[in-house]
Amino acid sequence: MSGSETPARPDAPPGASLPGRRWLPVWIVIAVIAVTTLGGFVTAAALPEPDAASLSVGSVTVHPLRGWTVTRRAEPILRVPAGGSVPASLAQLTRGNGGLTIVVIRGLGVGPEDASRFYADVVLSNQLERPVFIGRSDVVLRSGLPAVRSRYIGIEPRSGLLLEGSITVAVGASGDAAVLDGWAFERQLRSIEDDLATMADTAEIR
Amino acid sequence: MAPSPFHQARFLQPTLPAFWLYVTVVGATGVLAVGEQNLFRELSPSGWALSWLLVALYAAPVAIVVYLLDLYEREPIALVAAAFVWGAVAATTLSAVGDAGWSLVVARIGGPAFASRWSAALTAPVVEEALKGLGVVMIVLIARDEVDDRMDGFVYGAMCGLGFAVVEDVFYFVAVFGGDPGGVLRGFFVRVIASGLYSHVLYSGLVGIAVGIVATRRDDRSLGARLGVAVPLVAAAVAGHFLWNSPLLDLFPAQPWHGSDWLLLPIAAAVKGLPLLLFVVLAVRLAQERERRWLRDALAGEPDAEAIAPGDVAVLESLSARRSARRAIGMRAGPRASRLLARLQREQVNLAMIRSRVATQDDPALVRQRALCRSIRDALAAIPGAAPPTTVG
Repeated sequence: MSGSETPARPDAPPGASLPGRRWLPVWIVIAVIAVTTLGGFVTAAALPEPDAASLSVGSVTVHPLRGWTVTRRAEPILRVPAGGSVPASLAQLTRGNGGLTIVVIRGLGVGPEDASRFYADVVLSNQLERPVFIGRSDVVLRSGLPAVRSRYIGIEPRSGLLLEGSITVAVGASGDAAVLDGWAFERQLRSIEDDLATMADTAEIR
Repeated sequence: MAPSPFHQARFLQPTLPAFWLYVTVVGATGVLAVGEQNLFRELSPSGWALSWLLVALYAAPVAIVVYLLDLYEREPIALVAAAFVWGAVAATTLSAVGDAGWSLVVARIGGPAFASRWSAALTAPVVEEALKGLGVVMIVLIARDEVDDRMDGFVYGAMCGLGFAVVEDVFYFVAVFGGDPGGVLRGFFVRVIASGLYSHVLYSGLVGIAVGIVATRRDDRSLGARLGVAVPLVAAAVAGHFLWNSPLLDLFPAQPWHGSDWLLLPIAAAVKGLPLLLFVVLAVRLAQERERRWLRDALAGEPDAEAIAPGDVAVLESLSARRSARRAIGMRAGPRASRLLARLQREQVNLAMIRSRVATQDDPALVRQRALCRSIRDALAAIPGAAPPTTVG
């Protein structure tokens, strides 16, 4: 019973709740919100960092360095601008001030150069505002696989902050394209650059 | 008649700290939620608009069904909307933060491989059910009088869950299924058509029932005894959510889906979700039966046959009987008579509520409510063709 048609309830017991008692449940609610939302970060900070084990993403195995934690895994479908879609596997590692997104695009069937362009057009262009690619170099991974490495900057739309990134793209024998996209907010990429290069160079791409 | 100072049926309660906490949390998280929606709109304007259209088509009938499940004491629309908004705005935004934090804990303890399989199952059920459940708790703190029993808790909990599900669905349609119209439709099939019956509405509905059990004034049992019922219900909600998010009983075909895979999706979803759905249906039926018993008991022995005639209780107990009575009188005496009878039925339920709360049969509140019922019955009797008005059936 409710709304405007509800008669004012004349059945109230004498005396309302005490003002002080109104605050206690409110503080309890605030405490539950704080523990639920922030407690995980506090607890995680108190726990020792585990030695990272190998991480398999589709046909790629990455060896995360100490301090890097898997925060996300997904099996997205990438929408191709010209029409159609391509399945992919994704995992994201973070180390506080930056991240490494590993995307394996299944059966793309193109070389590293085209795969890099595909990733830029299909993924990065949708995630960043005004992405700009700076430089491009050919590298050889420790496994002997040729790869393309390029850097980019763009604006992360949600925060409006400048994001810097470095992507390494290689294509394995399976035809799957492996993209290792390391990123961090402005001026922070340098602090994780060595880690990103090491993890990209030691990745096993089948 | 001056409203009782204890009566808090409205949502706007600026004298209550709980009201301002609600406003602060929803306001702060609302900024982030609007920002996220803005991002989705920029990413894919057509996909985003289609997402909201589709979730509205799903959410509107679900909201109506949930609202109507409360047979006797429909909740104030403003409070129901407040529960929905808490689920859609506050719970989703805070859960995103909480899930991320506790996922780090799972990763630290179990390692990355374990975390990648189990994080969603170990974190989201606890974090999300707690944050959605707080929506029901906030409603209790803001409008204590409106949460009388477990059915009320179910309505508020389910609405929190529905709000959460709607925003989460839009997120999935745009961010996971690609955001183009085709991806949105695929997402709609997977998350709503194939598995929409087993979502947050169920989990939060159960948590809401648990809050209703703890908050009720109709149960004479001790708080400990009521917690003994409420805690297992919350555990059932968390367990159902855990099973849904876990790799256990996972019969979903591997992506990308082709042909018959799409037919397997509803079956795979049913394997994970159907047991909890049946459990919630049973819990709701039990809650409704309990409300029926409450109504019968509250009106038993009512001495004023003009306020409520002996045959009225049987009609009041059943929604369909109430509707039939209104339809019959409407055909005999017109729509005004039908509306008056609807008002009489509402006031008779109010009479039951007052009887269940006052200590004596001559309590002034009870006397006033009887007089109100009699006056409506008299007005009804004065309409040509409405007689015999001695029973509402």
